[in-house]
Amino acid sequence: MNPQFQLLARPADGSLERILRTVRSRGFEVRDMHVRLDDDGHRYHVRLKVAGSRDPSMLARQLEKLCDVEHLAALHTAGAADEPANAPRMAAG
Amino acid sequence: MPPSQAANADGAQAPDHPGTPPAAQDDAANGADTVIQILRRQGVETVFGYPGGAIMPLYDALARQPGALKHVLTRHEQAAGFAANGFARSSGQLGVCIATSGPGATNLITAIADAYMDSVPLLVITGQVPTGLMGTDAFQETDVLGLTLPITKHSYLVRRVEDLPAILEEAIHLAQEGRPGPVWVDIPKDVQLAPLPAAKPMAPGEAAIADDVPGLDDMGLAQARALLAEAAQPIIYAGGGVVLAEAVEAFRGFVETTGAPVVTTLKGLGLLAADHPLNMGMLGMHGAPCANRAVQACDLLVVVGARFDDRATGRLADFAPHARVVHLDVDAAEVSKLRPPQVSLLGDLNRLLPALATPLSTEAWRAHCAELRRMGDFRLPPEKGDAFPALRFLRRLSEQADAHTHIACDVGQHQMWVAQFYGFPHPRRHLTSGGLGAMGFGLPVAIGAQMAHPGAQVINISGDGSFMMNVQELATLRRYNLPVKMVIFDNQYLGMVRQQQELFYEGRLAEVDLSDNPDFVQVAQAFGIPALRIEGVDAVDAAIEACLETQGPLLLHIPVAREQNVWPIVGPGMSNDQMIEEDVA
Repeated sequence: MNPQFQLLARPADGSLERILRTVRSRGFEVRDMHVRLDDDGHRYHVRLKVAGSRDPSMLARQLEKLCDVEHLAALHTAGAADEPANAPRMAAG
Repeated sequence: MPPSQAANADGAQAPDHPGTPPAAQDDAANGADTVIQILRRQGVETVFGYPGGAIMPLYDALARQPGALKHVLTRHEQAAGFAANGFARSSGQLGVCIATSGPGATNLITAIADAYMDSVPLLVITGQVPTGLMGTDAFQETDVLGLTLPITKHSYLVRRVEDLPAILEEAIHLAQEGRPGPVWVDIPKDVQLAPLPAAKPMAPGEAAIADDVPGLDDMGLAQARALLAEAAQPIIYAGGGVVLAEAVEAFRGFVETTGAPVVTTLKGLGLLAADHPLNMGMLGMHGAPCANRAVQACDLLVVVGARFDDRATGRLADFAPHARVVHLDVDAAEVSKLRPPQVSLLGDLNRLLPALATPLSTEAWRAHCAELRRMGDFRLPPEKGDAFPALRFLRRLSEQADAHTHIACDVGQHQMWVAQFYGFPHPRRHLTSGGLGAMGFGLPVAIGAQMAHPGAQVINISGDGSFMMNVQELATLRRYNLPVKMVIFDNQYLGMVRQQQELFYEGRLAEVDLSDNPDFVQVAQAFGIPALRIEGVDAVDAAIEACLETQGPLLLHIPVAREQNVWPIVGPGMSNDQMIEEDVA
């Protein structure tokens, strides 16, 4: 199974790199990634599919901790989003 | 002329860049002035740094505003980072360090990585080449934002001067909120020079940014209380997070109320007095046998501000094998990272600990732990030969030094001996590189601690290998006439590596011999610092007196037995059950 996440991130310098770096350094690899910037340029919408042998909730918590990440949801199946075990810091605006 | 040819002769750190905008008008504040104004407004008084080309506008602003900040010039950027680190660790306040682009920034990396691993609140400010030159491989250009991603809580590149005030305010807040850490702000030279209206005074509360700390979880608390009530053999496993949360008193209250025995990490030393009847001591690789045995036998582990670091747990699968876990932390990402708890409680320890505290009826377990401690605490080894008894010295120093004495260690055998034999009355008195394990930490951290506490006794306990890694900071000590005492235990080896090569690599010693060390007394004297060599089995009193009675800086060079080891030791990949003790090694 390849865990999937949906993230909203502030489009600051390095914000996408931080997400990718966190995936790699926490022991996962990216299988699929889609990024779209809001029309108003205020937010990245990131959809991420990863592979790895570690607990995906650990990765979710590490991603949530990034200052640029405003919201994260784990996707169990296409389109179905659940909040991760420890609630996200804020809802998407 | 190529930029590199504009470099000065003594270090190529002061070039100018083509296209650099002219300096701001005298009557208009620029980005650099704004940095100083905001630091002042946030209560920063002391910064540590080293100038160079791309940060020159900020240094020019310092020169134009004499007295606005106390700037401490170190002799290497790494030392500026470590000194800010020592300032912050010892005081709990924000540490600030400044360097230029390129080599200035890369030289900071080790010190900032150390702050990240140990959650030290730092603001790191670097100059960057002008925005028009970024991405052109300009002289002294490195991608600082990219370099710093894995070693900071957050990092910023300021592209527009209008963004600078908000970014700095946010960076200062982020460094200190929740789980602290280093935040890096990279400011291109033209942004430093660009005009910006003077930062206006803030209205009360304007700077407040809401902390994202969860409130009390009543259901979680009820579940945790139930686990405590069911436990027959509870252990509290406490770490540096208690200190970072400024929750030492709440922690001590929790211990007294529950009556549960306590083990601490390296960074938790001092949370309880060393002779407190419930203090089982430090756990882990070089921990007290009684601490490791108690953890292995417990049925409930209450983890407070600790993170299951491998040096504490040994082989994780065998750590506290019979225990259920209640984990208290401010950082949600630490929960379940390595050991899933039965209950996690997130938030401010100052609120969580009193809410969870309840008296426990575990008298038999407490008596068992007291017996474990009687049998398995750290013990001074019998004296062998005529070498200086370093462990006795540390214990005596601990007994005789003022309770407010700060001990800054380096990394290696001496670091573990300090942890084992110096009884710290408070964690912030013990300055040690716990997560990164960075040699060269001790002297610059001692300088930072002395700057934060000018009237306090600050002692750097070092080894011959570590001391050489930032030996140039003797010049900083001399420049500011800081009364730091430096104790070098010299075994002419990289002792910890040598010990592990002997124990785990069939005795094949590889590149650990330092018998060609310089004469440390002469080195110190060359920097204008008094120094003594103290030798022999009977020299403990002389060493203590020199440390505690000498005014001003002093270096003590103390030759110690070449092949003394740190005991006990849990080998790499082994369980804490498998401690190797001296008498069976």
